[in-house]
Amino acid sequence: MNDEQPKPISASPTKGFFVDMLIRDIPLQQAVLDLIDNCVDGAKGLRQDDDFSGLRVDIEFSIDEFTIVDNCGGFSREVARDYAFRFGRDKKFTSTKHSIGQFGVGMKRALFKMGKQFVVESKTAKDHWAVEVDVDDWESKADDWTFPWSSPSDDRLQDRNEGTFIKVSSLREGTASTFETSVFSNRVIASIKSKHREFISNGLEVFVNGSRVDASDLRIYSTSQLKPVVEKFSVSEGGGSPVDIRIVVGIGDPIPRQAGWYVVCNGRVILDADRRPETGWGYVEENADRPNLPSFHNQYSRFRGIVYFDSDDASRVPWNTMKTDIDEDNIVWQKAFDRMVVLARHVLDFINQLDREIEDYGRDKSPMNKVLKSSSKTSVDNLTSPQAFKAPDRSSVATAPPLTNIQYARPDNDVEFLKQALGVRSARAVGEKSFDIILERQRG
Amino acid sequence: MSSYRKVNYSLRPAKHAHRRMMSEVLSCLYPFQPVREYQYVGFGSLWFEDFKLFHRALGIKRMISLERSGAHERFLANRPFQSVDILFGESNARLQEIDWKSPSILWLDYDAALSGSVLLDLEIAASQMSSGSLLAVTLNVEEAEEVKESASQGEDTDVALELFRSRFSDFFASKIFSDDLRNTPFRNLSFQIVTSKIEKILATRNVGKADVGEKLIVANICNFSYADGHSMATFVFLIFEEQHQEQYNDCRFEQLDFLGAVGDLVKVLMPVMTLKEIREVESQLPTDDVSSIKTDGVPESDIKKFAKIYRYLPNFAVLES
Repeated sequence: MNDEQPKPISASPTKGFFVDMLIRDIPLQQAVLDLIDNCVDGAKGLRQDDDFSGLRVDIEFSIDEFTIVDNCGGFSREVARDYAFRFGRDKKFTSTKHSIGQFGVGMKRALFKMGKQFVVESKTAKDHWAVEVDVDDWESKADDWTFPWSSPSDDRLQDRNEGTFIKVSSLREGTASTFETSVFSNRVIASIKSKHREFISNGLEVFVNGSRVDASDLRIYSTSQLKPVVEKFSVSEGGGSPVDIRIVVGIGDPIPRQAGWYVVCNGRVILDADRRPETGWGYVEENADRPNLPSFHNQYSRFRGIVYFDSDDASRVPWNTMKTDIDEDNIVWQKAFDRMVVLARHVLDFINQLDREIEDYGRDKSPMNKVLKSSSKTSVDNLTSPQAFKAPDRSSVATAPPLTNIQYARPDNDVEFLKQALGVRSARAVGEKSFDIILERQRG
Repeated sequence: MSSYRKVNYSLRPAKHAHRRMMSEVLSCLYPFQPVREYQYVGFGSLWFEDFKLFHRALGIKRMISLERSGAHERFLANRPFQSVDILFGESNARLQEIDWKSPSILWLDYDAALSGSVLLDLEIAASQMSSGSLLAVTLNVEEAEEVKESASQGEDTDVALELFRSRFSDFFASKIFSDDLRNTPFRNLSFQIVTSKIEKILATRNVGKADVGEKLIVANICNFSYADGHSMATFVFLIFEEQHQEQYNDCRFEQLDFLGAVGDLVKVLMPVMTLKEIREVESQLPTDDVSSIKTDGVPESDIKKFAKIYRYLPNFAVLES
C-alpha cells in the first residue's frame, strides 16, 4: 500500500468537452439568430423608446467565413470582461430592461458552433477594443479560461461610431458546407423575418448577404361583424418583475402551415404556427379533465393564436435557453396556457360552424363565408385593446334556403365522358350540372 | 385519373422530338462509362416510348419503369422488352428500393406541377445517385397546383401565393408575385426550387468527405420547354464528383445541335406545315442559311422552327389518302 495521500480526483471539465456540450444541441440557424439577438439588445439599450430607425445589422456568410456587423451601440471593455465573454450570467450584472438575451451563453455558443477562429471588436462612445481567439489553441491550455485582448483595427467597423463586429473563420466542416447552400440562406432570411418581426417593424434593418430582410406580418380578420378575441392580464406569481400577457385569437386565410399558436417573448418570436400538444392541441386523450383542444387538422387552417409575454426581467418570460421553445414548467406559461385553450375554443367552434355551413349551403352561398369574404384583415400587433370574440350573427345575415348535399359514385369513364360532354372540369361540377339539367326538364 | 387514360403518348410530336433530343444528351455520357451500361429508370406508362427509344438508340438494357396504376396485367403485357422491370406503387416508396450504386439515368417525367412529393422523389434519388448519374425532371409549368387548390376553396391568388410560399419558401430567395405561379415565370421558379433542392441534398452528402475530389457537384446540362396541350418543362442535371470534372468536360454537351451552351433552354416548338411542305423544306436541309430555303409561302419563322427540330420529328406517313 502506498503511504502517500493520493491526489484528489479532478472532475473539472476539459475545455474540449465543455465546448462540445455547449454547441451540441444548437442548430446553426439558431446560432445566427442568437447573434442578431445581441444586436437587438444593443439597440434596446440605445433606444429606450424602441424606435430602431437608423440601426442596422449586416450578416454575410460563405463557405469561408461568417461576419456580423452592427451600429447598435457596441459594448465596453468592462462589459466584455465581466459579462459578454463569461459563460453564464453573473447575478451582479444589470442587464438591459426587456432584453432578449439573458442566459449569458448565446454569443459564445454561436461562435464556437460556427468555427475555430473568431474576432470580436466593439466600439462605444468612449471605448474601442478587440478580442481574437484561436479555439484549438485555447482548448490546448487546460487551465487558462481567459480570452486574449488584441488590437482593434480601423477597417472592421469602418464608419460605424458605436457598434460591434464579429467574424468567424476556419469554419467547422458541417458549418461551411451549410453556409454554402442557398437553402440555408433562405431559411435564415425566413426565420429572421418571422422571429425578429417586431424589431424590424420598429425600424431595425437587417441585411443577409446583401439583401434586406423585411418583416413578415401576421394578419387576421377583424371587422365589426367578426372580431378576434383579445385578452390582457399580468402574472406576478413566482416573484420578481411581473409578466404582462396578451392573447389574441382569430381567423386568418386557410393556409395550413400558418395555422396554430405564435408565442412572442419580449418581442422575440419563439414559436410560430405551433400545433403540438405543448400549445394545447390534441390534448384530449391524456388530459380529459383539463380544458383542451382537438388534434390539429387542416380543417383548422384558418386558426391563428398569438400570445405575447413581456417583462423587464428577461428570465421571467417562458422560453428555453435557445429561444426555440417554451419552458413548460414556467408558472407564467401555465397561467397563460389555461387561458389560451379556453379562448381558442371559441374560435375553433366558429371554424367548425363555418365548415358545416359551407357543407349545407355550398361555398358561394354560405352566409358566414360571405361575411368572411367581405371582411378585411388587420395586423395582430395592432390588436391591443381587450375585446371578446365576435362571430357573425347568423340572424343578421340574409340566409338563403338551406341546401342538401348529394353524394354518389359513378364509373370513372362515365364521369370523364360527361365532363367532356358538359364542358366542365370537375366531377363535382358534372354532378351539379346534370342535376340542374334534369331539374329544368322535369319542371318544364 | 392517370394521364395514360387521357393521352396517347405515341401521338405527341413535341414530346417525341424532346425524347429524341434527350436520347442525344444521354449519348454524350460515355466518358463516365459506356452508355449501354447505364441503368435507366423512368415512368414508362403503357407506351414505354422512352424505354423503346433508349434501348434501340443507346443499347441500354437495365431498365426499370415505375408505375402507380393498379392495372398490373395490362402494363406487364405492354412491356416492350423482357429486360424492362416494372415496379408498381408510388414513386416515393419504390425509388428507395432501387440500387443507385452504379451510374444511372433517372427521368422523373411527371404530368403534374411541383409538389412536396416531387421534392421527396428528388431527395430519395439525389441522396443516393453516384458520380456520372443524370437526373431529369419534367413538370407541368402551366399553373401551380396551389392556384387550383385555392380556387377550389373559393379563395383568390393571394391565398395561392401564401400556400405556395408556405410549402417551398426554403428553396427560393426572391419575392414572388401571383404571375410567378403561371407559365414562364413559374417555369423559372420551378427550376430554381428543383436546383436548390438538389444542391441542398448534395451539400449534406458532402459533409465529412475528407478528399475534395469526392465532393459531389451538380451541373444543369440544359432545360427543355414544350407544349402538348399543357406547358411542360424538363430540367436536366448531371451529378458527378469533382475528380470527374474532366470526364464531364469530355461529354461535350455544348456541341449538341440544339444547344448553344450548357445550361441553355431548348424550346421545342412545332411548326404548322403540311406533309408536302415538310418534304420540300427537309430536302433543302441541313443548311447554314435558313433564309435561302425556297418554299411556296411557308412563313420563315416556321421554317426556322422546323430547321431546328426536323431531325427529331417522327416520320410522318399518311395511311389514308
